[in-house]
Amino acid sequence: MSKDDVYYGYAGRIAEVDLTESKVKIKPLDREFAKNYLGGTGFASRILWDRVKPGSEPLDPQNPLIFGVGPVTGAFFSPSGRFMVAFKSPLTGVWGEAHCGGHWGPQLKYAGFDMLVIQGKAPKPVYLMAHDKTVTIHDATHLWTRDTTQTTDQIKKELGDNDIEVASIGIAGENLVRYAAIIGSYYRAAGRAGGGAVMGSKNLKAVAARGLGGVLVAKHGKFMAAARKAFEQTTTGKWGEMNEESLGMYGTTNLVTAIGEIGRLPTKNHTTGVFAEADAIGPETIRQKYRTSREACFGCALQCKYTSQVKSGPYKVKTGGPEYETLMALGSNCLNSNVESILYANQLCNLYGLDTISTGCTIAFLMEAAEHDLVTSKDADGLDLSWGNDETIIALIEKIAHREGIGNLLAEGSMRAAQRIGKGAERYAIHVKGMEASGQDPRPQQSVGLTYATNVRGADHLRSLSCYEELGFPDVAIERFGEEHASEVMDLSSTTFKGHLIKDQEDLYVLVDSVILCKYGSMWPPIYYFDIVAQMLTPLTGFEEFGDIKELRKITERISNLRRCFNVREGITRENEQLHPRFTEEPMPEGPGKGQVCDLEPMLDEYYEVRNWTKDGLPKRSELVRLGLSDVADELAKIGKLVEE
Amino acid sequence: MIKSAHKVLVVDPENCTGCGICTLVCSFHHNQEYNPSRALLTIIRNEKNGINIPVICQHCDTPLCMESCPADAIYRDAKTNAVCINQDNCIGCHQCLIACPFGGIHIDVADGRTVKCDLCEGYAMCAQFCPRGALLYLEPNELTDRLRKKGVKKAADYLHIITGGAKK
Repeated sequence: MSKDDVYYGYAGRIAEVDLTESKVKIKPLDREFAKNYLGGTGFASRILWDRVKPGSEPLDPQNPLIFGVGPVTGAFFSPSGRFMVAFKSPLTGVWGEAHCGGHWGPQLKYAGFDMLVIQGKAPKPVYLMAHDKTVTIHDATHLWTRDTTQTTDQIKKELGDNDIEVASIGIAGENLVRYAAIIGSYYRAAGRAGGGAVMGSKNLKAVAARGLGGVLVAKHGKFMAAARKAFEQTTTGKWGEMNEESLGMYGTTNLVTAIGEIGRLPTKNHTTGVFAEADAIGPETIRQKYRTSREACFGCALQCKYTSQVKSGPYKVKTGGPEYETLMALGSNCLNSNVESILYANQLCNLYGLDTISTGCTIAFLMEAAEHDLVTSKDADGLDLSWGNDETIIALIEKIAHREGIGNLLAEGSMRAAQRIGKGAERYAIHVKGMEASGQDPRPQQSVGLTYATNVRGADHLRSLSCYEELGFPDVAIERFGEEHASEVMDLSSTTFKGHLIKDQEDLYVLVDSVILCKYGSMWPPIYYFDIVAQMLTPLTGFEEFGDIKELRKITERISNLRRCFNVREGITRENEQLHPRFTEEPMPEGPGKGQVCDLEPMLDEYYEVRNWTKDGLPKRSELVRLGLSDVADELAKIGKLVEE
Repeated sequence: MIKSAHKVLVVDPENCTGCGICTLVCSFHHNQEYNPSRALLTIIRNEKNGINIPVICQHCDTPLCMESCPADAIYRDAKTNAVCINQDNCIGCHQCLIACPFGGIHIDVADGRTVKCDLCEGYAMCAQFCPRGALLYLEPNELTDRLRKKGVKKAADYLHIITGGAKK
């Protein structure tokens, strides 16, 4: 192998899989492409822009489904070890992206790949296996209709290696439930935006990975020094203690308490942020009564993942998690305080391959629509639709996954279900761009509103949530934004400077999602920023450009802009980057944010201005040219979606 | 504390969460690449059932690998007490692999050499970076002291059962 063939950080290889023709083509990774788009989300942004036909049906067989990792995946830099999927979302019709922890991502890298680009539709069910710098296609007829655990076990068994990692879909993905998830290794999920349905539409039951290759780094000493520093920063001292007392002790369940304290734990379909019975579904209850083991993601020293078990009763179950968002969606947001039913529901969602957030929030929507007599028990196959009925919640999950009865309607997501029900049911479908709102509330924390509105995949937190003011990190805010702006950042109820803040967070998370690191360590606690990642990336990859913070920021702006341009091409403008009236017109009824609504418009104005986009939410040629996206500008100009300035 | 001659590398499997950081830093130290398949220790994992057990070389006082070696390739390092392989002498017969009851000998997946843990010349990278204390590289006295304290704590936890009183 000549020196030119050696890649550092990257595996240096991309697999193109054509399921229709049953063909696999392996291509070397283009170094210029890597320098421009980093990895993970960045790579996906360019490929989806290039290959998705504007206006196409999300489940059109020709639309690509991408499985990707980043340059740091499989190397030692805690917390990493994740992978991402990207696709045109069947839930929102726009940019779809989801990330997943566990051990799958590193195995893809060790098998020799930075990315799998999957197009077409297999004539019958298949699964893919990435190994030894190649991808093989296997029959999955016998796995169809099996749950994700059975599928994972069977693939490990038939390929004869217990260390194979499997990302699979359950019956929800097969049935094209619009928010079907891809489940990684039993109980991790690339949950949101409906990647599971995209797999189902391609007759792709699972993607397995296992590799014996390694990750090389360009500068051993420098990279190991950066990795050691990061390890020490996250496991010792004040950050280490904070991590261990919260994530370490409780996993993400701790957020039920922490977010409850600032009065934005979504409750009763986001009508309020205060759940009186929060303790019943909270961290101590789960830790003391149900926890079984701690299961780290690969290469992670923070280790927030726990498994749990209900030992007896009607909800007897073993499951991974539950995570905060699940406790919110299937708990407080449905007024359900029966924690054992949430654990059981969580496992059902894992087995069937459902996003717990959209599932729970769609059920909450139905319960509120029933409260206002827009649907009745008769419409819902005789189920009692009153708030908090845990048996109904379980029954509805079964129906959604199987698309039976009322489940067929709910499988379309709350936005489409509301349109179908009519009679003003939209008032109770709490979504942005068609994606159900996650476990935040913009009324007590204004910046959340801007995050929800501008998030390329819809109403959730993971593309730009700011935790400086959410969980109180004034020192970090001063360091990053200066004394002058830190007080504005820290003021939960102020809208000033929030456009700057959320633009900065969005670019930071693009970096995290491209390199691929975990949001823990960057979102919370806010340890990693552009500087720390830059110090690690050059010794890892050998690319000097990544070590220059200005250049690195420009790369992230390029990716952020390209993702947004993808949405613009699909018809998204300012009109679609809005919040549900629940957040802008209905004052928070109680708690610390009592009386507040979210004042989105000034924040949105500022965000577009800072992005150098127009007030209508359209890109300007000058900005796209500055970021090396002239061809994108040209294409948008042709359809009148670009402002020439 | 009185120091004995050599530190020992031990496993506390109760603490292992399967993160594999030990396999990353081990393979990097020995092969300059991050590759768990080339690590000189293994974690037996069953993710579904939450089982994670690190398996390491015990650096036995009577190493069966050394006894079985027909080429005098296995020796004990005087500084660290580690049982090591002299690659110049090794003939690749794999007798050591068969003789070791702990699975401490590995065949390198990249170059086919017979390899094993050498305690990183006394750095024991796996223990240095284990975030949970599942791998420990300690003076024997420190170790027994630690285990005694753990035992006493366990006894204290069950004291209420032993004495029939209520748990605090």
